[in-house]
Amino acid sequence: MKSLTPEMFEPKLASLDEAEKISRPILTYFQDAAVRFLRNKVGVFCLGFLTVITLVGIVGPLFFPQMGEDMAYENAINTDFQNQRPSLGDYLLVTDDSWSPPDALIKPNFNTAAGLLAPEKVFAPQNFKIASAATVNGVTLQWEPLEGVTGYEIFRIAGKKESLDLESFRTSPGSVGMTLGKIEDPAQYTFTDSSGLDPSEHYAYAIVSYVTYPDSGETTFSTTASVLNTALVKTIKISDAKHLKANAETGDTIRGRAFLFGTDSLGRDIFARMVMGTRVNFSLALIVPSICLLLGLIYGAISGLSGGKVDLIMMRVIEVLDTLPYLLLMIIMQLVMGKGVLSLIIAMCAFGWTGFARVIRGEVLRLREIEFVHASRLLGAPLSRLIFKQIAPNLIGLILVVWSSRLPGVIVSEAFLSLLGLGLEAPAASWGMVLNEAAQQFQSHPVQFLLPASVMATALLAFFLLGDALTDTLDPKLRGRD
Amino acid sequence: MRSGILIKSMLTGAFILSSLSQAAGAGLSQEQRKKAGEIYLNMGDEPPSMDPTKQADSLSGMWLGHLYEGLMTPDKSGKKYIPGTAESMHVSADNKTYTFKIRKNAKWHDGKPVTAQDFEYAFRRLVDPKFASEYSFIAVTAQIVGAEEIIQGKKPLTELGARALDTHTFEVKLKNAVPFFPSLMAFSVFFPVRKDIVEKFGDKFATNSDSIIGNGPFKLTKWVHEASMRAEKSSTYWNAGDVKINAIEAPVLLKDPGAAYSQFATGGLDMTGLDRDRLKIAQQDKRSIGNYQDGSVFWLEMNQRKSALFSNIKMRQALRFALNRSELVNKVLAVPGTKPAFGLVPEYMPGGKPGSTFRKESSIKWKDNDSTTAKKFISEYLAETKQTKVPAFTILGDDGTNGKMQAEYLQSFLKKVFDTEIKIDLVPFKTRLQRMRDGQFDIVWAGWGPDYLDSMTFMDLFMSNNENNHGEFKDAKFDKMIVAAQQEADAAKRIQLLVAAEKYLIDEQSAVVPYYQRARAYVSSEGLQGFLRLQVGADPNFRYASWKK
Amino acid sequence: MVLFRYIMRRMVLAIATIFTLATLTFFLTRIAPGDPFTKTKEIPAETMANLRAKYGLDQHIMVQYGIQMKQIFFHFDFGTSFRTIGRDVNTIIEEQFPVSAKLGVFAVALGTIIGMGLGIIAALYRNSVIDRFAMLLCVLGLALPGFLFSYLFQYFIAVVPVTQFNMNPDTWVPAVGWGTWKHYLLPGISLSLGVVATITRMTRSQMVDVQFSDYVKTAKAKGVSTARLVVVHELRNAILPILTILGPLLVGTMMGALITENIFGIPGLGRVILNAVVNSDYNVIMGVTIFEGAFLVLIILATDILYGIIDPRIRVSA
Repeated sequence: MKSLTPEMFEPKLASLDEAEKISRPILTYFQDAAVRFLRNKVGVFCLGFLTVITLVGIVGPLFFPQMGEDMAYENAINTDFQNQRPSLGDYLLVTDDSWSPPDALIKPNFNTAAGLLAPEKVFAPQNFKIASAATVNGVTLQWEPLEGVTGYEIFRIAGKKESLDLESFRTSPGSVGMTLGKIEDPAQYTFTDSSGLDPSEHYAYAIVSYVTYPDSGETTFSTTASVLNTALVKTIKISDAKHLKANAETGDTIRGRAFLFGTDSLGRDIFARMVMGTRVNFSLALIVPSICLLLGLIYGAISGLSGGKVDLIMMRVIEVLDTLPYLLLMIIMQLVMGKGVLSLIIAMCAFGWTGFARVIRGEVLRLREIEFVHASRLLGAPLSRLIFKQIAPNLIGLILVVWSSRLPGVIVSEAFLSLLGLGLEAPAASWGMVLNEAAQQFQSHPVQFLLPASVMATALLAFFLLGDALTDTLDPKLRGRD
Repeated sequence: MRSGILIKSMLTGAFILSSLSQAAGAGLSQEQRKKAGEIYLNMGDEPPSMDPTKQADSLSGMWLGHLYEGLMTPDKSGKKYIPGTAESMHVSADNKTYTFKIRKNAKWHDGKPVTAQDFEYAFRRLVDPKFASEYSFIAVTAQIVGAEEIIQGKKPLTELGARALDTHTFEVKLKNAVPFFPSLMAFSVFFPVRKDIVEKFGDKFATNSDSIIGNGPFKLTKWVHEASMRAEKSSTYWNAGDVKINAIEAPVLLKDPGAAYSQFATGGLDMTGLDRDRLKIAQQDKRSIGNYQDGSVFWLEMNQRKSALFSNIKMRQALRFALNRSELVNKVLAVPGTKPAFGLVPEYMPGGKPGSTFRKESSIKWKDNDSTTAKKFISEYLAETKQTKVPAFTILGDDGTNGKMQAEYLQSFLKKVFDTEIKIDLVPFKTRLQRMRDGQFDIVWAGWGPDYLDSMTFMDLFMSNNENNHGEFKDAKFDKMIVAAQQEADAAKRIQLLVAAEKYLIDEQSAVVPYYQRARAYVSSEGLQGFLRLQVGADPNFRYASWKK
Repeated sequence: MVLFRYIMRRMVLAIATIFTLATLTFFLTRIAPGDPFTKTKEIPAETMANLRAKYGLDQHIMVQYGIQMKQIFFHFDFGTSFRTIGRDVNTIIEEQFPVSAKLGVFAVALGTIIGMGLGIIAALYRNSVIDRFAMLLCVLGLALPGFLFSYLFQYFIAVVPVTQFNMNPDTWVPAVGWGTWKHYLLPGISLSLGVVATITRMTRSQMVDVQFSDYVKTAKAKGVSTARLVVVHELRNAILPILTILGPLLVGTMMGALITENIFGIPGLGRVILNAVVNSDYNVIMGVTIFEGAFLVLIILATDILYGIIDPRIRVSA
């Protein structure tokens, strides 16, 4: 309890000066807004979140592994590791760069003149096995060639080890499996399958023999097949392995890189591509709406304020622009400007500002009728003053809502334009390009799309909420709510 | 009051929705199709033209091959050509005159008999400059007398060496012997055409089901543009008893491969092609997947105009050895059956001796992915031109996803070998064609599908005056070799000449760098058998197909 | 009388707009590389010359321009397609426009109803969990590429139940195609998501604005129930801007249905124009662009007239 003194009880004299003094510190419009913004927890959080992402985008690439030969890490293609799930680094066998599938082997001294087997005697070849290590580069199969057959056919199925139904594969490989092709030389006894092997899957192979009788033209297949199954060894090329461990040699086993988001269809690190993409998308998100806003503001305000014929013509111009075939113009623009960030910006701004202009003109028409604008015009204020001092501050609320709704739109447009081919020059990474490529594989590899999409959706949500928070703080009409 | 409006609007909505339901049949289920002998396919795209003499592309080719029949037709193995609407084919001793006897019981879908005049009209129409068929050049390839001059407007139509001697005898005279002439007679531009129908419909000929009268096993009964087509077995076909399918219908037009596969998965289609991603899904779904050589070969074409980087032969050779075809084929394209190519002519092309193939008679071979030899050529180039680093160059490609993948792979791979900056230029399809024509590229990958079953369809591409020779490889020696082959009458010798020409082209000059031979994967309904997948002509071909009982 | 002059003026300008659009499209298509006849396999030079002559493409460009403009504006004839021989552009539009329109109307109607509902709820419970959730849905609707929803719906709703759970494909939702009311469902819902996202945000924003206006505050103070407040007072004013964009939204949805039409095999105009651009099919591009452009102009005209009737201030100043 504070001690009470007699002075506290003396009456305070009313003083006109004192009464008129403004006791709060004088804040400008924007200082006031800053204070209020900081009180908006959601807004601050979003701003912080987006700043973190931006920093990751700027600083992250500096930590990328060096690939040498001026190849950027996020563009480094790795055919040993395509479409893989996120991992923390697998153990990999080092292989030679110049490996290519071995030629098929033909048995010497094979009796090609042997009579063709009767249908009941057509059996699958025996001793069906793997000739050497089964890696993601190739699986070499081997069997005992049969005399009296016209050839063989090999089938393949893939999946998780438990889900492979080997029994039905053995009895009717053609109806559950994929044919790898007919071998039309009965003396051939090896075959290398390299087509689209995925190191995370388990593979089973089946081989049947067949006989084609020349007189009837009929073909008989062996009723059952010889079957084997195998997992694949994950590999890494030696030129790449040397980046991880300088003295690596062919045949060693080393620990590979971690792929936080997995790899795409060419084996590139998706996480790295998203980090690089941040640079592109965030700069676009800031630049494009601002340019569109400026253009739209000037155009819309002039149109709205002038009224009459000028307004009519200006709006017609916008209508014409809106109805031009977007697709066609994009293709033409691409030819004129080529690819790259600049042409992307121009393309997006060229059609983005009309929305702003329309909305602003609408509001301007409404605001024009308000008294203080009338007064200013009567007093002879020039158009520019009207725009910037009278109309604009009142438009801020609306502008911010529209501007903030465009931020995410820019990022989405970038994805769409990348799909059309008007985007960055391949193989550059942007969110749109990563998502487009992943969307192509969606049904077979959903995770590849979902992770980057979640990142994009989260960032977009953050932009939205930030926009809302800004609207709440900056719009003069909204002051005094909450 | 407000709720009243709400109810009213809901009722209106329901009314609109129900009235939107048009009387459209949902189509037959797979079980019903098996019993009725019907096949459902995906239309894929609207055929540009159903006029056989135009034969714009493979889409219309598939339908035309079922609605019409030519003098010759593929047999049920798909490997041989047998007389179709012709009853017999007689060849003169010098192999320059072919006489066909038309079957007396060959009829058009409206019952009228097929006559030799119908063939004469079609052949003349093909070379008529006023009709301007894009395939008129094939009459020149077939070496039909007078074809070239008529196309150029120098001679009248009546001078064409293809004549009806009487109503059922048709004679064709050739300038030189053409060993693959019989297979050409199965090609759609040589199908018979009814003059009275063409004149009756004028510009609208072959634009709807009424104006298409054919002589083949099936008759077009319905064509809803951009939506569906249906062809039913025609009783007028001379061999109708041998046809086991009663109708072929394309009830939907789906351009998107995912949509087509979804429709197949729900039993709405009996066959659909699989792209790389759909192939993965089909394997996951444990489907029966087939593949076939679709006939096309792809190569890297290099700009060899003056002062272009690849006009230098050392650079071209370097590219030839540098390429890792098997990695591209297996890891990027990933369709089983697609094979690395080491020559221009694909494996299925027949050779000069019976039972042999062109590739078996050729001796070209080199190691794939041979970066050592490639680097050797590069250093020779650098020494020759006194440079320290290979200049930057550009890869031109299509801007679809497949194109992008291939381009990015090439860029990354070639960068390692050539150690220079390589840019990718991905453009829309027509733009790419324009750039190729104008020579605005360094490397582009291009492919070719065969027009007929003979290696010449690939070999004459690189003659100096061929418009398809976009890299402008102009070599007089090569031209002479091709012309000599065109004039050689003996089949075996002719192939030998072509084999030597190919070796010169690919091995010595490295004019183009062969890349891969393409195969396509597909799924088909369980029980559908006997259909043919062909490299030339109507594909798929259901003439000999049936449902297993 | 004022209204009549207003309408007349707008119509004259609408016609001028369409004419400008036609001219611009004409010259743009001619500038773009590629011509209708080029294919992967080159056509011999003479044949190409013959083809161009046949279709009148060998004349001077201004002559071609004059001929085409006359054909379009005096005879309403857009010519024939270069890619599909013998097919009139007018017929293509006649057959396929109603398809795109019906789908578009369905999607916009569905989207607007859902969107307005969501927007009103979000505005009423501003800053609550419901509001945030609605906003999240909007973001996803705008963020994820539209065609992905089409794929997702097609796969999970039409295909999986048939292949994994043995639903009968004849009675279940069809995966592709057009013709019955069932075929509207998947594509319509996919397309309506974008509409929902836009309308929800707009409705919410407008409603929030209106909530703070004087007359609403007065009504609230006087004790008007929330339901009546929303419907009678707030909605009426919030609706106006939404009405303004409904027209363009419809056209936008129809044009954006491109990929969705492809995925579901719907014979609509979106597919047509995509093909036409790829094939440099001049007449089809002109026809569809001008037709859709005219459609858009007319819709905007109708909206402006409506706006003019409702808000007298607009037409007086015009």
